[in-house]
Amino acid sequence: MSDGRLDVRLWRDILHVGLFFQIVRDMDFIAQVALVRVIMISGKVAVAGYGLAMFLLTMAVSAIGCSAARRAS
Amino acid sequence: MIGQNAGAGDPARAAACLRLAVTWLAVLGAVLIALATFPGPVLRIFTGDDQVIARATETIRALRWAMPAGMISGALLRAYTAVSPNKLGNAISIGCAVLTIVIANTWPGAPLASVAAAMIASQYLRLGLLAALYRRLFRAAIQRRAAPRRADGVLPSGPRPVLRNRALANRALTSMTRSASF
Repeated sequence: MSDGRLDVRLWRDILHVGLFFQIVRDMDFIAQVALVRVIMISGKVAVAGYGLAMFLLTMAVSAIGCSAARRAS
Repeated sequence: MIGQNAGAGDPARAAACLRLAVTWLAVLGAVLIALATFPGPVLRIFTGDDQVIARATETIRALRWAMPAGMISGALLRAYTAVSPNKLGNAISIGCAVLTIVIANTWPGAPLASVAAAMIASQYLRLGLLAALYRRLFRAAIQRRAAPRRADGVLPSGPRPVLRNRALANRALTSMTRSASF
């Protein structure tokens, strides 16, 4: 480690913990893309409405999450 | 916080953190559902197009029921991952994401109804499965971490899990810094 080379064993440990969770995040993103593709059937206005709605909901959810975390701390 | 308390050998505080987070998310999720009934004034901050606002209102009203389940299941998944590698919980989440795609593309009816059905079904399924695995993925994991402390009533003289994790984090940070510099 101290000689600047990549520590394969350490990175294997990190991937063991974090890789699956990262795949979950990627799958959530892919699922959202698939949902937008379904909404696209209804036209541009529907996509704009869906985007605005999701922005508002995710913003609200993030605010709620931050509020809960601060309350818990 | 949950990871810190579990690593420090304090399972009661780690469990209390999770309980508090889930309780608050449930309460605030209910408030969100109530507020999402009339989203018009907030939506008008972002656009003046009546058609878009009508569509967005329709979408929010359809999807709001999935939000509490999404928030709570997300909190459970992160809590489980904080105390163990949690392959099973993450695999459940991956399966539910795939289920979302399948339902959205096969559900009969309007596109928004398909999307709403996909999100509500997958989020509540994920929440149910993760909640059912609470004992196995969270409670058992934090008890295992606290076992050395409970055995004789005092902390072991060797490195505690939290110190090991901190050392691991420091090593990772050093490794990343050095890798980035090359």
